[in-house]
Amino acid sequence: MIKTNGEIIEHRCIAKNIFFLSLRYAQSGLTIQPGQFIQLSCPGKHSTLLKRPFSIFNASPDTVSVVYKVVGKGTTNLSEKKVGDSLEMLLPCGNPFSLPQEKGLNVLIGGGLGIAPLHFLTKYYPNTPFELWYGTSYEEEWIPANLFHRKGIDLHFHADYCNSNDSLQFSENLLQKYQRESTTSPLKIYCCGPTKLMQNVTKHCAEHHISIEVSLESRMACGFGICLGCSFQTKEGMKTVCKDGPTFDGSSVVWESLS
Amino acid sequence: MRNNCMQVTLQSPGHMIQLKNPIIPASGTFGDGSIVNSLYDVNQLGALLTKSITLHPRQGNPSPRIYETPGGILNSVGLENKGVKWFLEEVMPFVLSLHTSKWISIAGFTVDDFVDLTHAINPYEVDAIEVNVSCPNIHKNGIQFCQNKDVLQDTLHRVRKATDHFLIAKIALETNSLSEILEVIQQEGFDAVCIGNTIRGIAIDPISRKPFFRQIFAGLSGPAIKPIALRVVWEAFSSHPTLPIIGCGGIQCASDVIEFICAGASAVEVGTMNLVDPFILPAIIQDISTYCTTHDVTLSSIIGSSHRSL
Repeated sequence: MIKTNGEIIEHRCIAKNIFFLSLRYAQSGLTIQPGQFIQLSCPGKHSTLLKRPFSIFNASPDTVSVVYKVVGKGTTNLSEKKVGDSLEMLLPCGNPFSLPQEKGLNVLIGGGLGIAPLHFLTKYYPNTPFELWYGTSYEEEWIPANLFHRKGIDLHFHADYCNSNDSLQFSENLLQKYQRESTTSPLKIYCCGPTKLMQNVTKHCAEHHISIEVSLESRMACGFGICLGCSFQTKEGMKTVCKDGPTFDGSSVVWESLS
Repeated sequence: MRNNCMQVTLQSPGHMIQLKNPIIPASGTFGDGSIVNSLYDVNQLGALLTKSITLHPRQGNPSPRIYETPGGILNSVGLENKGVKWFLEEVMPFVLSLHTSKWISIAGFTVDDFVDLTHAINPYEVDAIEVNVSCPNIHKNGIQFCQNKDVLQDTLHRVRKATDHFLIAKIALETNSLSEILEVIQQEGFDAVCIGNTIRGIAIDPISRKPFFRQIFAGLSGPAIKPIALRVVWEAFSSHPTLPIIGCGGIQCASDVIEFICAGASAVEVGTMNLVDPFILPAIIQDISTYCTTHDVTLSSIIGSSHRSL
């Protein structure tokens, strides 16, 4: 992890209250992998002290991009930044997803902005086929589909599976479908989105003996494991989202400890 | 300017610690130091102070644990740690491998906790033990140890008897009688005082209209509390000029450090800003060195200097 300044090279609104932000930084030679995140300073008219964590939507040797929704003071400040502005950032933070399966089916389930690290996964492994499911609670928050297209991606848009009840039914139906289709090849699920969605998908994965990796989100202060602001319970003891994660084996998470 | 312009000494009747610079990470904002040591060499620091350990493992408080405020944060971490047995096995070897000053923070919920923790740390060659008496005492309705003179006296007396190490009492900024507390600290043979800890605050979720934290109250830290911490350091130096003071509260840059030293602190702990910028402590040290050169002073010569100018 390094601290560096990123110059904004692209910043645009891509859906209601949702922005795409790309930054270029001078320090090269970093290895940034899908599942990791950045801590980004968000100075502006609202007083902020802490950096904000953002999943990495895409990265190259000298650029990193995120998608974010304006939800509070920090992201309001961020939304007012212009191309050419400079922001301090820490990167890369946290641990990446494990490797997708070379033989077998890799299914990505993203809810809302949980799609961001899954998008990076598809870009990072350009020759790996993926089935990508993407849903949002609100139609106006859809990220444009053209951002996802590449050869080998089977893209499914599925409206409104992010709330609790719908995600339960959705994940049950989906996993039954995949289990029927993939009896001869192993199945691996990656999921990122609302906690309830990840919890429900994990529950059904356990019932069908399917491996699942989740990327958790939490309020955090430092982003690198020293403040314990994002600690939660796992079956192996207390872990931090920022340092031990944000990617975890879904079956290890004690979901009730995540508020 | 001499190379040792940043050197400071914490001198009590019984002990002396020399620090190459006055910069110490506040307990709980630096882990055990090993993560930051992977970012830079923590031996640059005046001392390494580890996160408070308790006698038994603690899961800490439920989430959420962090709430940002203008110029600060509220935290409700709740002293999550794996207990002293784990600490001695897993962390102490790293601490002992360092060649800067090595300080251990202990936190208890009964007087016996503090005594047992001190006995556990005592055999190890560390340079200081910071006794976090701003914890709530479960035998006294949760009142902080430092808020009750008799309890504080008993605690410090028994801890002092348990070790010959350099002892620091870490007290709250909100105290009923600062002068009385400092008197007890000196009487009981403690070597220094750390002023202070977080200030209790609250946040309320306007949607649910309930307290944001499950524990209702949380500890406020960060630049917002600096003038308060500075005021308490000033008052402590005024009333007890021979008691070494470690200032702590809202420091974010070298000029803040100089303010604390001029108010009477011999060293400082930097907390919240480590969470904002993990590289901030070496930058502050560098800027203090520049300050000493620019102004042709040693830090030790300006401790409490603001009082002399009145």
